[in-house]
Amino acid sequence: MKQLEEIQRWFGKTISQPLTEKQTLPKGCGADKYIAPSPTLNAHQRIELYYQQYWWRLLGSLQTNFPTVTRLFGYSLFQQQLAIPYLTQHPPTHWALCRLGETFPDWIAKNYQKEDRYLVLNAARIDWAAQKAFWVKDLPKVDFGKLSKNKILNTPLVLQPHLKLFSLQGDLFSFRETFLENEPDYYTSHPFPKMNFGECHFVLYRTLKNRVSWEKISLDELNFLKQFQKPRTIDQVCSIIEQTEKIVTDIPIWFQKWTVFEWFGLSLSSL
Amino acid sequence: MNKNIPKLGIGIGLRPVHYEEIFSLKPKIDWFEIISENYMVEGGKALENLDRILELYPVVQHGVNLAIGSPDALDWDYLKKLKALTRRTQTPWLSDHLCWGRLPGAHFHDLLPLPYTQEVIDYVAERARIVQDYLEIPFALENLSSYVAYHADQMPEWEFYTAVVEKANIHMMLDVNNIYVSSRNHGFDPLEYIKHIPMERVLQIHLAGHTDHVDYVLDTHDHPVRDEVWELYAAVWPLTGGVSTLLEWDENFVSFEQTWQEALKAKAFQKELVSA
Repeated sequence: MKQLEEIQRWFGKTISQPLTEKQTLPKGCGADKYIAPSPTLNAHQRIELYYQQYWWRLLGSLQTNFPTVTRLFGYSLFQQQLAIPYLTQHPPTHWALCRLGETFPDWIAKNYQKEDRYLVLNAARIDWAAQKAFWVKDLPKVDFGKLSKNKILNTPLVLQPHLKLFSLQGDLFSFRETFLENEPDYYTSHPFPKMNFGECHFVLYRTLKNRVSWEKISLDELNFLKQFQKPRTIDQVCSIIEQTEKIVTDIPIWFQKWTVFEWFGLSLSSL
Repeated sequence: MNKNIPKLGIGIGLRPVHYEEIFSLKPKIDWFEIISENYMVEGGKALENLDRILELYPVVQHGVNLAIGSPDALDWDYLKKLKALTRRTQTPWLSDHLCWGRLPGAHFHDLLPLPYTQEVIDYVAERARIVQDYLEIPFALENLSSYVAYHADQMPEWEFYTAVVEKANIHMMLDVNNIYVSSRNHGFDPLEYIKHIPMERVLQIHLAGHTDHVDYVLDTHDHPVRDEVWELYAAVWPLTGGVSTLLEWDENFVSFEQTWQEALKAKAFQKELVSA
């Protein structure tokens, strides 16, 4: 299998070279050694078709998975400043394109240092949370109606994996919702929507009808929900909240709503 | 070889842009083909939509990421998920491509052509046999549209394709548009290709549109099927004994109705061929 493996190694290395500005394959890739010319194209032109397809497909998928970040930069700058360097350093390893960009927010956190870093990084985090919420598996649901009061208080609960909490210096979620109403090219000649600043807290989740949604929550709700990022019983969480000496009277109302929304699952370790 | 394979008629590739029209109009379509990987997810809307489709139509699975000719070991996590989906869809067969697309640590998300050598026939056939045995349903490999030929090639594509499926004792998913596209890119006669295909192994035909760049042709699935491809279809379909036919349309989408009308041209061809 030496010959096959040699061809495949060369092929893979060639088509995954960083995409050039003109989107043409750099000369000197050694195509003549492996590829036969056609009556109309030489070996280099032939392998270049695969190079372009590789990049166009990945860039298209990353743009789909990160629609807010794409609009913040526009197609060209998104590709040049973020997507091509990222995909060069982190070529896809998984067969599912819906997972493309799983490490993109972390990559931005490490590599993007311009003054709009806060906006770009959080836009990427929200985009990824929304993407993942679309397909991630639910934990076993809790049927509170069938549990005794004692059991309800003592069963370890955990937030469903599709649910993600955000604490931000600005209403990035409302901004994003308006922003996504237009295609990226629209913003080359139009201003971005206005964003309200100030501390805001949000939860992003998948609805019972499998739509990805979000809502604004209070700091108290955020802190309460945060306790369930690890498996905990309601009793344990109430004890933690009591220790903060903060009087929170709305817990039963919140909890009623969250259980209707099925935001809690049974921790797999407790089953 | 194919006597237990159902003949489903004319189908089209199920794409999310058409969900709304399909769910509201419930059109009379013989069957849908799904891209397996789009539904090999853990939960959420995609599976909900698939279940709604399964209540209404027969579904056949077609994959794009098996990458059977890749140098690393078969991806058993992928195959396990694929098999679970076949149980959900009750697909009567399953197909993927005769290609490679993966190296250790990198997935290229493309259908990359293999060198046509005896060594590769042995390698791919063994893996294809394992896949079919594991999935426990008929498994077919599809011929590619390709844009390169290797110096290492020892035989024409049809000989390579036939040898792989015969050695593995699997089936063929014959893409007529791909035969045409490759014939233009490599300068062979598509009828010569068809002449050498063991038609008793063909369990499904694919049709699609392509983009002609004069110096080369790309398999883009974004146009109606070209006349040259319909001519090839007319030559192939009767030889297969009337296997299921599917239209793929993946870019520059048109309405569901227009897509279906394009697919129905195949039915008109079939009627003409049968009456002739």
